[in-house]
Amino acid sequence: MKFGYLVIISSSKDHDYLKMAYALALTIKNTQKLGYDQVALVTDNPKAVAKLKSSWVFDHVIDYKGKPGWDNRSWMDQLSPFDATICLDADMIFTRDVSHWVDHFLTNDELYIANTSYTYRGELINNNEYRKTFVKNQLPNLYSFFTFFKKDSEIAKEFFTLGRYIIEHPTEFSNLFLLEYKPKIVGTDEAFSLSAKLLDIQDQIAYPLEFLKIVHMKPLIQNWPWPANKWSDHVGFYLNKSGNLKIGNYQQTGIIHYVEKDKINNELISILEEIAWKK
Amino acid sequence: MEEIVDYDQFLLNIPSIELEYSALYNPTTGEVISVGPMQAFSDTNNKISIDKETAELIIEGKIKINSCVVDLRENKLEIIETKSIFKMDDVLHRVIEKRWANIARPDIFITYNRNKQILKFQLTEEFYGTKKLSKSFQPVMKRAVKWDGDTEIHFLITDYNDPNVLYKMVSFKISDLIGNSKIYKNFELPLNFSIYTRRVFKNYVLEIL
Repeated sequence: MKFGYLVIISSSKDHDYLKMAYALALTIKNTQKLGYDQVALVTDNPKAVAKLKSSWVFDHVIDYKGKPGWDNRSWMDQLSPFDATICLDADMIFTRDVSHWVDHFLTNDELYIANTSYTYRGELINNNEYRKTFVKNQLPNLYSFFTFFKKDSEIAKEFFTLGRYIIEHPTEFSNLFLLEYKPKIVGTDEAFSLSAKLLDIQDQIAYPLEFLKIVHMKPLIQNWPWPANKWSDHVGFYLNKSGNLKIGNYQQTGIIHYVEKDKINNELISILEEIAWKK
Repeated sequence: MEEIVDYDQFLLNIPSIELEYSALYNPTTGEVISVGPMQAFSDTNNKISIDKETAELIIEGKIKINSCVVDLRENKLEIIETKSIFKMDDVLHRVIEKRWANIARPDIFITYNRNKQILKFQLTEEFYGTKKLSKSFQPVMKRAVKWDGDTEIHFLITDYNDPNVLYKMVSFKISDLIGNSKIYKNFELPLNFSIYTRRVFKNYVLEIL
């Protein structure tokens, strides 16, 4: 079964998503075992990929424009070139080999979506600051930034089809199912959670897993006793020449969803490229 | 019939007015003279808008007003020395290497000559230091900033991009850089290192030769 990671980006005036996806792909190549390190990129500007120093880190580059204003991640099941896929957000990086996680999913699941995340200190996030829609409407707490699926899965097909339908009809679904706390936008997380709830598959696709450690760096959920606009106002982000990452004085050992889009700069890219070339 | 207004509800419904703050400054030196609500300076020209948090810290005396100057080039408030620094990048600012830095006009320029093992700190000529700015910035308008002669600046020389591993530390007074460079000889450093500092100036650049 052909397995790989999928990253879906589109051009933006505000952020360089290609740079983020490139850093993510470099960290996958640098840390994952052979056979577990395939990366496919979906982009509306494939020409820009060719200009990267190590564009080979993307094993597949898929040209996809999508609908304007539409989050293309909801099409992940149809865009992936792999039999089994983990779709990630672009603003993530790997800090160690997690191919044993993939083995678990390949053996046990057709569809799995992360339902827990951790602070940079390794504490389980219980704060619902960004998840009021989920709590008040009793939706399963799904994070679409880590979505595993098999292409031939019927459950996955139904799940993604309904998810897209929800995104296409946000007002109708909000008025029917999200009355307790309506989100400003029905995004991929909300649509996936609602889709899972309506199909009554939440326990099947988002059961607790001890090993899945994804650090979520949204600032208000870091269990700090003060409010924070940006996490980087409070802790540093230190990537050394070996690709080891510390946030503050905590060594990171999971997948990091760094959230702040400016964290990936040219210096950091050069470190990751050097490691990739030496591997 | 007259409607009886629920007074508590009436009070709750009054929209709160978000105060906007300004800093009044000396147009020649950039020194900040006064900070207050924007309306208080309505008949004055030499003022800039500042954020609420900074304004309140200055009004409360947590940031000294005589530590504040307006950068006349960019029309922005700068705090030369502050005892209440909150942001990590101000408490522990990594000096970016010249090849990665997008800083055309640094305030402090650090050079490390690996062969000669010399570490040199310079202020730019804009602040009466020894580092010449590039031709594009000539002639340089000197900035009339009053330094507290006792203000010390500290530099931590650490493992590459990791201030948790400290190799060496150097400290000196800002006044040491007025008209002079601060030079450390026989200063051996590993192949990969970083320099961190508490941010007193806005822009720092490191060049490794």
